[in-house]
Order: sequence, then structure tokens, then C-alpha cells
Amino acid sequence: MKKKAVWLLAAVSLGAALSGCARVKPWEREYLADPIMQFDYNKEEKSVKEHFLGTREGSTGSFGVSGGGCGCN
Amino acid sequence: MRQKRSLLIAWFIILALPAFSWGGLMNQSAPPFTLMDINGRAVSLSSFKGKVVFIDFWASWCPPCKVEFPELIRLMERYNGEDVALLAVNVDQKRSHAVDFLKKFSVIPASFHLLLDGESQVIKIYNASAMPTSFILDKNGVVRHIHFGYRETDRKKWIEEIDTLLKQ
Amino acid sequence: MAVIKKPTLRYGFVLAFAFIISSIKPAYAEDYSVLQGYTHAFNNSVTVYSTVFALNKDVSLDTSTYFKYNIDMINPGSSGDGGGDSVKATSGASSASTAGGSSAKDTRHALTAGFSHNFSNIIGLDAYYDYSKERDYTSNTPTISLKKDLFDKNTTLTAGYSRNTDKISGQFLDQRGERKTDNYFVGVTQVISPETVAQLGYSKNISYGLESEGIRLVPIDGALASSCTAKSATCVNEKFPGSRQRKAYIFNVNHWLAHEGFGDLFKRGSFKLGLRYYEDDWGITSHTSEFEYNKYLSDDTVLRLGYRYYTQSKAYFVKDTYVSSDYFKVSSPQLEEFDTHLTGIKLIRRLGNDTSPEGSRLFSDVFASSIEGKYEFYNESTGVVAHIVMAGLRFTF
Repeated sequence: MKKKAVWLLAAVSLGAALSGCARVKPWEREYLADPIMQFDYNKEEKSVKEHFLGTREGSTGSFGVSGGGCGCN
Repeated sequence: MRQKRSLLIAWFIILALPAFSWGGLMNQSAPPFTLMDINGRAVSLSSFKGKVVFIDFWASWCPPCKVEFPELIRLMERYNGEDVALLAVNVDQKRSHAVDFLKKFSVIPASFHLLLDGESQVIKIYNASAMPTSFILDKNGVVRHIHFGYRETDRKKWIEEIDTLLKQ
Repeated sequence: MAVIKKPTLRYGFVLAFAFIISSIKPAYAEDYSVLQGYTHAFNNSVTVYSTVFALNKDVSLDTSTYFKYNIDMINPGSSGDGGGDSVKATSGASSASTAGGSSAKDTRHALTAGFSHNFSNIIGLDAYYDYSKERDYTSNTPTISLKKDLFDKNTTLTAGYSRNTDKISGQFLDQRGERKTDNYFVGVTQVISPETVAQLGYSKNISYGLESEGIRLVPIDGALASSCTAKSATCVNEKFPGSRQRKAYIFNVNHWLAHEGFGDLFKRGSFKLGLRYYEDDWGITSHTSEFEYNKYLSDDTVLRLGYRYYTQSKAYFVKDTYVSSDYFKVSSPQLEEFDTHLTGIKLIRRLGNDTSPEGSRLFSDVFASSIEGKYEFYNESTGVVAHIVMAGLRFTF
């Protein structure tokens, strides 16, 4: 189950990376570049929140991934 | 274990691959266009024939464009009075976003033309593969140089390229 | 007294991951600084006051530096037992934790310093160092991560590693202990459409050494938890397994709202969904679902509404009562089975105007660009409740 999940993640990401199926052009990223579309706009607030939750809950680590945004050059 | 290691190696190989660039318009006549400028006047590329033309596609939401913009102004200040024109084509969907951004700049040279392509019609034809993307045209309107994105070394390259084209 | 676990940097790698996931930015990231104040007020009078100062500065087009200082002042309060009974109900053992440092005043200082560098648009590198210290705990975490943008594919790949070393000197430990944690992380972010972007991630971390915190006792052989305030034959140290392996799988999607009707509720806003599945070799599995709705109320004002649900199972060695022959003995409430809810509202107000679009000019080229405030309500099925208030200012220069 665990191994499958790792391979699924790898397959999806490599597939996405190599196929180029998502044809969003650089100039079409205006909405994606907006602060409210970022995964990590306010990283200080996010860090405080994750620290707080980390002290309360028993399954810390890995809350997200980097990337996204305007994808400029 | 070996499988995991292979996966990790494959991952890092992909991470190390260089970015892909496309230069489809190189050495071809720049596609003609007419756009409204920020003051509502129609501006055509054809009206700059006989000049070296620098076309830059940019947006207010694009961080490298914000860094590049003052450099473009300085570039035009350098070529003040010479046969060089700059068409800064803004692709913001809302005109007000471009206007807000431009408030930061008190003086913009006369040879610096701010054009609006809010429907992305012209940038689509030029197929800019990064933001910003700039095209440098010779006096006959042929694309001689393309820059994808903006890097600190670009200003020096622009000057070399424009100087060469001015001599031709 | 309720079991309010002292909010410490017990899990330094949480921050390490927070950085792997959030710190990588293009070197074009805007120069900015933030000043934020937080209050976490629990229902047993424990209150934590925090202040965060951060500074992000580009030193060149390809390199940016980052510095952050965070101070947490933990005020245990004088009395009160808001969620006491219900907290105790989760485990007879857990109430013994009141014997630990959770009732003590403490201050945590945390420093982060690092940089991001973009190597000719080929690869992005982030290197950070986190240091955190409090009375009975010191944590050091170097983190390194790599990012690759495949622009023509609209894909971003990330891989990261951090190593966390914690030195633990809880009051019930006979000698100072140490725990090391290796964290590995890979992720992919994929732009799906001009309005939608999604992420998949996987992380694994392995820790070994002293897994206990040394701040709790466990009543054994019929001892009463309430009388377990000092070490004795029937009030003993916690005993954990010597290592722990954690794995987490995450999925996030952000969608831009551009739909007409419904009073423009779904126009010029965004909807975010986050899912996370976690499992470890102590038998804990957890599921997290998080929703966020953002809306531009005007060009200058953003409203954020959020809800997060979390549920976890208990560790395989957790019991209601322990006897001396039990190999593992724990009283940490984090290892119990419970659910949590976090509901919040936030407002962000941009301070720019026509004459000064970047914000209110403070001096020279330094602007106060936005002000923000939030309120969140946190509650656990154990009975623990917390009110979280935050106010912040963002500066650009």
C-alpha cells in the first residue's frame, strides 16, 4: 500500500512533467500569481499555525509542497 | 531499496534538466499588430519601420517584469534621440492594474510606448514562452534577438545587440 | 487541571518541513518584512503570547536572504480547569502530565536564517538553519531543498532534506537526552488550468533517540494520577519506543473563482482544499481536511474563511492504566485518539492609495503595505479549546 502510494506519486508527477499536457501559457497565469492563490503566501503565519498544531496533534510533518505561482522565467 | 534509490536518482536528473526555450520567430518578420496605448491612442508596429524596435511583453503580476521595468526605462534614456523605440506590451486583464503599477514611475521617455494587450491577442501570436519575453527587431522589422525572462546580465546584452543593429 | 501540553518546539522538524514547503521562492520575491503578534488562549488559563519578525531581502536577481525571529511567552495562568475532566477522560495516565513543565512559565526563542539561490533558471536551491531554545529544550535544524520549474510543462518539482537534532532536558529526566530526525520530502506542483493549480507530496521522517520529552510522569500499579506530582515507585518516567518512522501524503488544490451570480460570492476569490493522510510505526494514522475561501471584498480588502478537521487514532501502546511490568508507559495526550476542529476568519487590508500605491510611506522607500487580523477557534474532542487572535503588519521596501 505504502510502496504503491510512492510509485503513484512518482508516476503522476513524472507523467505530468514529461507529457506537457497542461498547456497553460505564461501570460495566462495572472490568477495563479494572485496572493490568494498561493500555497505559501504568508509563510510566517503558516509556520506559527503549524507549530501550534504540531504541539497539539500527534502526526507532525509534511503539510504541503512548494511551487505554483506565476511561473515566470 | 534499489528501486527507491533509482527513483531518487531519476528525480534529481529531472531537477537538473535545463529549462526549455523556443525561438520560433527568430530571423522572421515580426508579426504586425496595432494596439491601444495607455492613453487610448492606436499604435502600430509598422509605424516604427526604420528603427530598431524592442518589444517587451510584461504584466504587473509578474515579479521579474517588475525588476525589468526600470531597466527598460533606463535603456530608453540611454538611446534618447536615436532610432530606437520600445513597445512595452502589458498583458494585465485589468487596465487599472497596469495603471497602478506605472504610478511608481514619474518620468517615462518619449520613445517608451506603453501598449495594452488585455485580451492577450498579440502575445499569443508572438508565443512568449516566459514572462517577460522580449524581441529585438532590426530596422527592417525582422526579429534578431529573443530574451526569455529577465536576468541581470540582460541589460548588457540588450545594449550590445541594439548597438550592432543600429550600425547595420 | 487540564492537560494543556506546553507549546514548545518539541518537533523541530515541523518547522523544517514548513520551510521546505514554503520557503522556496524565486529570487524575484519582493523585499518585505512582517511583524505579527499572536495570542493562543486555552481554556485552562494557559496563554501563549507570540511575536514574529521576518525579513526577506533580495541581494541580487538570483539570490535572496531570509531572517526570522519568533518569541513565544508561555503564561500558565493561575487557576482554571476548563477542559479538565474531559481531557483526563482520554486516558487515566494523561492527567499525570500536569506534574510536568506544562504548568510552568517559559519562553521560547526561535531563529531562522537562510537563503535562496536560482542557478541560471536550471535549479533553485534553498538552505536554511533553524535554531530554537527554551528552558528544557534546544533544537537545531539545517534544511536544504531543491526546486525545478518545468515552465513549458507548468510543473514544479521539489525535493528536500533536513536533519533535526533536539537536546531534551525535561525536569524528570535523570540526564539530558538527544533525538535526531531525518526528514525527506518530494513533491510536485502542477498547473492544471489558468484557474487551477494542484500539489501532490510525500514525506518520510525517521527519528531515533529519546522520544520522550521528560516532562510527564505516568502513574502505575493503581496510583492516582492526581497525586502523581513527583517521581516515586508508582509515578515513573514515560517510556517510548526508541525510534519512530512517519510517512505523510498530501494533496492540495487551489481554484480561482470567476463565476457570475450568487451576489458575486464566487467571483474574484479562491477556494482551497487540502487533504493529508499520515501513518507511523507507532500505529497512529491521521486524516486532515482543510478548506479555505478567499474573497476580494474590494481592490484593497481580502476576506478569508477557513475550516480544518483533523482526526487521529491512538498509538498501539497507549493504555488507560499501566502496571510496572508494561514495557512502554506514556501519558502524552498527543498519542491518544481524538479529533480537532479549527475554524477561522481573517481580514487583510492593503494600505496603498493613488499617490502612494505601494502603501503608507513610513520613511525613505519603506512602506507599510498591508495590515491584517484574524481570529480562530480551536477545539479538540478531548475538551481542550483555544482562542487564537493575530494582528500583523507587512512592510515592503
